[in-house]
Amino acid sequence: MAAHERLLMPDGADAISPGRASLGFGLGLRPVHYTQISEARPKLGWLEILSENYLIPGGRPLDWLDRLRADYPMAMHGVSLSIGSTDPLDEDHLRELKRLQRRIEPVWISDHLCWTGVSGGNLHDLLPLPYTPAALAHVAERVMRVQDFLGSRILLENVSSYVSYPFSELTEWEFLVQVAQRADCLILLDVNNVYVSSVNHEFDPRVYLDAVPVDRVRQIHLAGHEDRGDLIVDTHDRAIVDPVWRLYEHARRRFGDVATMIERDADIPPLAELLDELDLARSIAARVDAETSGPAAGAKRAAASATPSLARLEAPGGSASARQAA
Amino acid sequence: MTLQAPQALASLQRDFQAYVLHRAPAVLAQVRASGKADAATRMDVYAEGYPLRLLEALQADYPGLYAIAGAQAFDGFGRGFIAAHPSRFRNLRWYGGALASYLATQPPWSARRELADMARFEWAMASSFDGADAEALQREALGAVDPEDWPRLRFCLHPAVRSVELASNVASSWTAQARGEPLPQTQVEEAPARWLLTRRELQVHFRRMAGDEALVFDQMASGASFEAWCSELGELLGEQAAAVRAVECLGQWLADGALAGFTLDPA
Repeated sequence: MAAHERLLMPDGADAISPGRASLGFGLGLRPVHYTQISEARPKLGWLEILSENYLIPGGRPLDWLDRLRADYPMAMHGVSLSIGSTDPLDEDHLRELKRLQRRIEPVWISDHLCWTGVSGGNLHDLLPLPYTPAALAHVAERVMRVQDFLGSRILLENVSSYVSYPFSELTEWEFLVQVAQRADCLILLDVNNVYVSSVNHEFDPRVYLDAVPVDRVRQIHLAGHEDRGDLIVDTHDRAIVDPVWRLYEHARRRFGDVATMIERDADIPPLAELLDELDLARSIAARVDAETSGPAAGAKRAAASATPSLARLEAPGGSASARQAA
Repeated sequence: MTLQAPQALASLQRDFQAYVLHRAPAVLAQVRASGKADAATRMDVYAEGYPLRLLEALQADYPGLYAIAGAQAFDGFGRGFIAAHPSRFRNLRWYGGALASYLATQPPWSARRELADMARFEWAMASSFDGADAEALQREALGAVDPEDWPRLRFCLHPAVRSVELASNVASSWTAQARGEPLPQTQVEEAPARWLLTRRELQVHFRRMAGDEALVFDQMASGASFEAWCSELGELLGEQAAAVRAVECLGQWLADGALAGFTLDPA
């Protein structure tokens, strides 16, 4: 475990479980909920902010941020790092991110495994990369430079996509995993994005999830999407659908107690509605955890499936939950 | 076909971007089609999403403009602006800054002076809203300065202060739309007036400045001394009245929270 990641963990969390301590269930913080969250202090393990919303000189948004940060751990989630672009990394943007990082001491900093523009342009969208060795080398090298600059491992999130390239030599999940391994970065697994891309590109989303190493996943995103008939589009404007919930169940079984949150970016409902939706995630997680004999056993079970004899030897002296299970 | 080099990746990205911006077809040969959807249908998800995303950002930045223009006109000039200004901003927050000058120069919108006015006004409000933080200068801090020394005072503006020139009654229209009230009839004046925007308690406030106040405000904002303001005002009002008026303006700006500090020139 890199020392710089421990610096980002909330008070004492890394002492319990280096780098993988889950913060439980959270929400993407949106301005429309500032007042409600501040007044009602809902039981949320953490909040994820959209970094770009706070890359501003001052004023009310940063004031809200500081106030809510006093009550909740926060993760910084970016949409414009453009890690896969062939344009040079934007050093001004990185400096701004670093200022925000110092201000709120986030648990994690994340962005997407994609590009957003080239030749100085920005399409404000999460655009898919070709999954080739050249793109892999390009992205991994840039991730390492970003991590060096921020003094922290970052999380890369898989994106929803509508196109793929016939000359890709790797699957999306092979590409994601190899980037993470080569750059030694972490993964933000967006279960809805896996589902959206699986429908659009006709693959089995469970194969994707099963290929992702358990120990690199720190965060899970859930969201709603729009079914347009031919393609489905990641819109974050509605409730999470059943197939995504089922896939989340599969993810929980594989990855165990990973910090999970819901993103809503359009037609944002009252906070209570999102909290109810988050309770659904909690209940699925609780059911899976019960089936797999207690919280945190999911990760152990995944490891166990790979090395059954070692797992048997480890169980008696393992964590409290593992002993309970035994 | 294989992508072996960053140059090939760059070329693919340029082709992809060219499709999103103006439907240049080169990328279609590089995208996988399937029975589910052909290459163009797939690329169109991105190409259609791009202007919508920017329109949404413009609507969020310019609610008053949306209210006075109406949905159809806003869509019209919004799409025109987006086509003329491909985004080069990493952060959508800064995308719409050139909308006022687009509206001021682009027919038929330029014929409706209130459109560019409202855009200018709302952009100034937004940049005041999230402008840099600083303590506002308090009246009491000036108490320590000997009145004899006042001519040597220079002030610095609070970083969230903005001023804009408006020829129409867009400030009233803005207030009406924010309160959900009926919009007033548009009125355009021959001579534009200067408006001052300040931020107190994280809230943006705005008011129209009198002609002489605007004159001395520009002096103050450019770093001129109190003596220089008085001299500028003196040409309008006479020496004695100028000093009184300059003190009046200063008192108003202190109450507005428009100042962040002062310096005293060496005697």
